Amino acid sequence: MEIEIERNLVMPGDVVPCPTGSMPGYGTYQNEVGEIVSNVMGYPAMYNRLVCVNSLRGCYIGETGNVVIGRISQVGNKRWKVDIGASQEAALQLSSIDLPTGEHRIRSEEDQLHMREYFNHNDLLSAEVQSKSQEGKAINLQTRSSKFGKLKNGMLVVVSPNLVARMRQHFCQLNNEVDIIFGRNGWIWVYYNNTNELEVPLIRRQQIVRISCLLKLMNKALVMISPEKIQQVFERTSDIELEDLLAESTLERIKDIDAVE
Amino acid sequence: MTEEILFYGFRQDGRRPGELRQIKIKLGVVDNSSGSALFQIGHTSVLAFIHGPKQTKHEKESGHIHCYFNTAYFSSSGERRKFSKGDKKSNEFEANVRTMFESVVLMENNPHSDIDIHVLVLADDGSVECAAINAITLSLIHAGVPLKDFLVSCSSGFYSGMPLIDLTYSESTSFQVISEYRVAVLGKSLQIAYLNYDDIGGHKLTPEVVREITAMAIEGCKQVHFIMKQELQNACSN
Repeated sequence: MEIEIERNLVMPGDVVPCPTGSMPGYGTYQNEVGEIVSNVMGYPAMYNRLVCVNSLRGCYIGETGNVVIGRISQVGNKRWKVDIGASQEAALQLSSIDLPTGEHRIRSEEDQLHMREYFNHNDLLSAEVQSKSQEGKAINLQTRSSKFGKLKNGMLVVVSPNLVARMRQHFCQLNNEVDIIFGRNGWIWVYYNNTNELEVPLIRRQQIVRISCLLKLMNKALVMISPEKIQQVFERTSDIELEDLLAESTLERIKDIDAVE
Repeated sequence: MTEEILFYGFRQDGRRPGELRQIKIKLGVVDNSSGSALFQIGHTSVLAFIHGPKQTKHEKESGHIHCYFNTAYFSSSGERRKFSKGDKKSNEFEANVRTMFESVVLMENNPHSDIDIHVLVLADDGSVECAAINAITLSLIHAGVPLKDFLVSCSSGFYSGMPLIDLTYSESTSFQVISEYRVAVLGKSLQIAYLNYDDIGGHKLTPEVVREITAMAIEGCKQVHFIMKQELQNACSN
């Protein structure tokens, strides 16, 4: 249960106001006198006796079950290293992927030799956070579902991870036109999902670019990102030509949709 | 140079001896970085930006801070120098920044991650190192890197029985001023984290003078800390 304490912005080195007997959580440390001191800039929150500070900015901190998007940075022995924008690279074990043939069996030496065929260096993929190490920093990924895997026919947009909240569906479709995957690490994949056509038609490409521009704008204006919000922003900017979409004046229009407190 | 340093209690730019120059702060000036800040004090302006925390080159290696100090070659108000990279002064400063910030940044929160700090001096009108330290602190906070406390810095000097704060270029290069004395302290506890001094006039520092100019510089640090906190608060509220 979250108990709100004083919602004042705290800075590194500030003592977080809290009742005695509280314990320091993330974003805080205990100083020599025993006071709980913030170590980031953000708003304090309290969970039972645990005092935490939610940082306004910062890199992605993984949570089990999160959908993320990453880029393969290393192909190793029995595993891939994936850059997901966290403080450390995540690991994807050979045993935690779905084989393209769909069989369920123990991975052999043969599979190790074919690792580059599944995911090669610089490939983009969607995955789920399977577990975190004891230290809480090293992340293990898995793609054991048909919806995860290599990404194609689309465009990557990187926004602040704080703007992508947890939602019911991280894979969704906008206006029956463009598909989106929202990675909780702030990486968003905008793509065209049609297996029948080999090439993405021009009109779809323009739609993909348009949605990408809107996401960039929302990132600049600090608007929480969700399918409904994108729809709202889309309607407000529908009269603007694609070329002028990233101008300062467009930013003014969407600023009041929802500011992050 | 025989310029007046103090004239009826006022300095060359019209300040009192214990008065800081105007401070301007801008956050998020470099797009492709985790955090960035521009710190301007008078005509001195320094840009700092952070890359990371990111994975170290070799797994299992403990993380470090790396600092890259650069001076734009149009920045100096004195003679134009071609490059400052790799000279003794900037190498020394890079090493100092590394040790200073490794004690302030809580590295155990990101045990196997490196942090790269890039500093670019855009305009040099004295107290560059102090402005750089302040800019780095701001950019680390902007990047959301866990810090024990603010690290704030201010310079001071001594001229005919009077301590001066926040020296300009012409003051710090004057032979009559005991300069440039640089102090960095932790914002809350005011513990001294860094103390440096280089004098071109060949003056001898006496214990009394040291005491006075250190006190003056710490007073300046307090003011800088207050202004930095206020500016950060403003930047977040809108």
